[in-house]
Amino acid sequence: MKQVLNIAWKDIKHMLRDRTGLVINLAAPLLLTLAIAFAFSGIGSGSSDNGLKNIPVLVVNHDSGQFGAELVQFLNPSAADIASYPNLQQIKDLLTVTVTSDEAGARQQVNDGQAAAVIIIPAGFSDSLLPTGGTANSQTHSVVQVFGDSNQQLKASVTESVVQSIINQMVAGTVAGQVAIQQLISSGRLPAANAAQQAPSLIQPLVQNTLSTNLVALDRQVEGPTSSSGGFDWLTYMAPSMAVLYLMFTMSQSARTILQEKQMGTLPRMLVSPVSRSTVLGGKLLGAYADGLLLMAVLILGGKFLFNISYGAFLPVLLFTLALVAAATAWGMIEAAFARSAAQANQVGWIINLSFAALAGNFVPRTSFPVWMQQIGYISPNAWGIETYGKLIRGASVADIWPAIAILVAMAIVLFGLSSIIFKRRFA
Amino acid sequence: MRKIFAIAWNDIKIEFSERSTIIFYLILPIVFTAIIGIGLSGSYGASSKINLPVVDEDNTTNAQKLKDVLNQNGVVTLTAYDTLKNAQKDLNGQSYAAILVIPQGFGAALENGQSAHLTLVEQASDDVMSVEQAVQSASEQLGSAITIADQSTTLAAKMRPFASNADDQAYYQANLDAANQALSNPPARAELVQNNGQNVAMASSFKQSAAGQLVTWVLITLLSGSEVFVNERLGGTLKRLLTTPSSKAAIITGKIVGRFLLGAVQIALLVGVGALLFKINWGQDPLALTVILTAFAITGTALGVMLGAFARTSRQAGGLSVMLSMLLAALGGAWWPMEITPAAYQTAVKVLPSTWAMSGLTNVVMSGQGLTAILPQTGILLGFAVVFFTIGVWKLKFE
Amino acid sequence: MNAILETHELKKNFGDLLAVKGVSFAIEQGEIFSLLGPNGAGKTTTISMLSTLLAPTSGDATIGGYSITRNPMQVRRLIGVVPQEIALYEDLNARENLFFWGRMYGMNERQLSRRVDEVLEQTGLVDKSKAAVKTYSGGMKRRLNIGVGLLHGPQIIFMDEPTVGIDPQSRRNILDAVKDLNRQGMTVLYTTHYMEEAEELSNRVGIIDHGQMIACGTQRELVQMVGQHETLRLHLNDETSGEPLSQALHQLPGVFQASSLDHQVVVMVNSAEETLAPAITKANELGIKIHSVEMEEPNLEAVFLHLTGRALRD
Repeated sequence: MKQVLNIAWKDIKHMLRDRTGLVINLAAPLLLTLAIAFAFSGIGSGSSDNGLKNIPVLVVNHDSGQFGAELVQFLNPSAADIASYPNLQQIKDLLTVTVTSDEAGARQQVNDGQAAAVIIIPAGFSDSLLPTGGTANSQTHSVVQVFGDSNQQLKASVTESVVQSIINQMVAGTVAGQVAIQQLISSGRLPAANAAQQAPSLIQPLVQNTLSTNLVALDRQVEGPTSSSGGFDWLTYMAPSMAVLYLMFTMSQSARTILQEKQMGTLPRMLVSPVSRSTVLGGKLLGAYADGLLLMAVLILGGKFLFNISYGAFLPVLLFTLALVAAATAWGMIEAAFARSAAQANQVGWIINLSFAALAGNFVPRTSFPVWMQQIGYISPNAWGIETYGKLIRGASVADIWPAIAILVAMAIVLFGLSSIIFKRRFA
Repeated sequence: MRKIFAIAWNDIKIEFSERSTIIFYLILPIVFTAIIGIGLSGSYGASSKINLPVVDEDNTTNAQKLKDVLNQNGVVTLTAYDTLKNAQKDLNGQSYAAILVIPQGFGAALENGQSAHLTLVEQASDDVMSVEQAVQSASEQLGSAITIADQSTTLAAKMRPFASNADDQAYYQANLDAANQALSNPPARAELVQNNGQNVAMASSFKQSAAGQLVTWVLITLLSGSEVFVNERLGGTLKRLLTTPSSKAAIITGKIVGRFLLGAVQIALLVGVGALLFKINWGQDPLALTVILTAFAITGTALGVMLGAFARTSRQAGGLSVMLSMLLAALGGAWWPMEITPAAYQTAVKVLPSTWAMSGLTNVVMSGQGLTAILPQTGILLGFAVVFFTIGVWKLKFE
Repeated sequence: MNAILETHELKKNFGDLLAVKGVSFAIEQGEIFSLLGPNGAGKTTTISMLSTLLAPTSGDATIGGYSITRNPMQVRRLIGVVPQEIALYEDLNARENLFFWGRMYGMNERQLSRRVDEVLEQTGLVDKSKAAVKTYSGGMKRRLNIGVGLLHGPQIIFMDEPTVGIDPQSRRNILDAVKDLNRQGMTVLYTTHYMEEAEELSNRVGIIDHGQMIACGTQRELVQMVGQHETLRLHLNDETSGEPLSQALHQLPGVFQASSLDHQVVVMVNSAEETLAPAITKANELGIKIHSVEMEEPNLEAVFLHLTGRALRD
């Protein structure tokens, strides 16, 4: 036992001595977290505006009727408009609208990235809403195209939503008028002959009321950590996945030292001293494990004190982290066991760590994988780490996460066992 | 010139001195592209509906109407739960965009023409915006229909009062039905068309793109060459190279060429296999793609060699390369779209080569643009390469 | 004979490669035994087996009565190993290295502390003991390498080519140190491909070639294998092949063996003095220019040449 500690302590000394390497390995994920904080600082709540403002869009109006003009007007509301319809304030903040008649030029601006989208109101738009003739149920369907920049998908989408909601209101207004008149006629309150003449004055207040009434209000409640503005705290969500990624890479590196020592000659020297193979392996393992714990401690505490990221309650986080680091170390050991040189172990490490990261959803959200692939992902500590830290952040207790802990511990035991068998055979 | 290739070829031979290395070397990009390809096909293919858990505490006709409209929209699929707690418990651990809660009194309020509330319990998720939009739309439709029916009935009553309550109700209902029918088949709508011709039902905030994966990959692969370079420096073979009558510039160039070729094969594999086997869409212009990728690969290699000149142990080099590749990829826009970032941020990251690589790559891959669109980025990337190269040579001089 | 180490038909195969083909020898307590042979002869493999690093394919050895295959732990406590490569932690200093390795041998702290000071003194590294090993010269590293092997007070020390690649002064120091150690009672197994070292240090020598022990005994016994023969070494000019000359010299009286190696013709003769003139005459007849001549008393190199027809150092 003493010799296990002796070996582990020697490795830890090496790690601490390499001050530059230490700084790099510990600073890196913290820097990355900082970068994310900066990048996402513009985002407010998870609501549809996503903190976006002043999206540059263009409008081209081919319609000759009142609705086309109204659409343009509502997209760029004046103070008077906002006074009549307070909802329009949101649109004013969201979009910066330029009206133009040059459709080709407008499209080009979108392609060049100067505008997020161009809104093209087709000829016949007004007609489709209120066909001359005054009767409802027109067969023509009009499509207002929002031609968006694929590099600015979010902004283009938001623009589409805005246009859609304005059109919805307009449709509601026209439907209101049409339905009302129709029902008045069919109930005999309004002679059909007088409809065309009397309708406008009759329905005007009705339409006005329809347009300015929003019966259903949507309340948003954010579950999980929130940012200071009340929206999602993206940083807290991304922090664990980064931490786990770094942990895996670091453990591969630590385990590799066993091969480097083989090349250096110090491993054979250890093997001719009166200690068992298991002791040597145990010492290396313990050293690597300590390395991993240090990394996670810095990340979790650093995250807490520098970025206000709370990983959750102390005890469950501690227990889970101990299990996670064990599993990560075990994977590092297996990589070293199968490789024949430190360089080869490096490559095996890359394959495993990158594949695990991809499978666990570090690069593409896990939910877009087919189910069988998501299941395979569970072979990686990455998947468990991201999922379980996520749960812990949302307030899970030890009772909620003990299966994850158990599985990781089992993973560690199996892999350690396997790697020690392989090592012993190689150094017989 | 020959010396450069001699150095490069030697490095390649050393890398593959063990046969098994070749296998790993080729497996890695294929595995990676397989995973990313399968994942991306989920997001780019026929858009699947988003699952929306619904807790109906109201159970009135209006609540049902709301659900009907939501189902009709085609954006979400509803899953029913009796209480919010049950829903959250059941979904614990899975990611979902939001849970819709229809509170008790919803229907009654609407009946009385008063405003009603709905609650969306949201999680940080890619699909939140789409869900919000769908619910907003459906509730607007429902609300409008009720308002219309209400207003119309009031108007009718003003013109000629109703004989009885029953008549009033009947008239109201007729209007409601007519309004609902008209609203569910609107004569006009908006439609988003992207300039790259691809169909995206609703942009989500953080969908990763193939371009982003590629940039991450290139960086990781090429920066890891720094470890090899450090081992050489410390191992003495570099010193030996430096005693030969070759300029330091030639030596570094040789190293860059060698590592570049090694990386280029992997990148080509990733792109090729990704396109052929996993239908990843790399844009319309293969030439432009090659140009921008080559420029970025050169830059990445030069950076890796420069790192190798500075790092003092291979552990440092290893740590540095993982750190820098992640940082550069993330900050340059490979992991989240640039458009969500503040203007200050966008300006700040212009000093990074990865930002320009992403810009060029997204032009090709996402917007389907061609050679002219990426010339400025290519130039800047090559400029970065020259700078890294120069610094690397300078550092070697003082070894 | 009070053998502290005995080997019995030690064999080691690496797949198809027969590295050690059945080596048997014994080392007496208190002697310096050299294992002499060219590069690739199997010296390191033999030492690896004896230090329990490699398991023999067949055969066994006992050290201090303990079998290397059945009691490796006990064997390890008795032996000290000085490997060919510098097996030290370069980022740590001498003191830290010594403490680490001492603990690996289970030494208690007080005893270890005393021993570390002693070893630092013996290896002349007291002044540099706090500096990282990577700052040491090649010679200093070698000395520390030896120091680590001695730390726990072994009964026998294995030294695998300890003087390869160092300056003459350091080499001299090491040879003197080995002799010193031996005077104090340490048994030494010393492998080398340098004949002079084997000659200077050893009581007994085992000559090993291609995995086999081709001769073993005191220097005197070995030399007697080549009889009273002396060696005449003719150095030729660079471009010349010695083959025609060596064949011609074979015919001369008093010549037992003539071999052509590199740019030399090496002739084993009854008397070097007597054969010198005729040899040169023969060379002149063949038009072969002789650049210099050496006359050597019988030595291990000659033994090796006699046994294998090849030079020890090629």
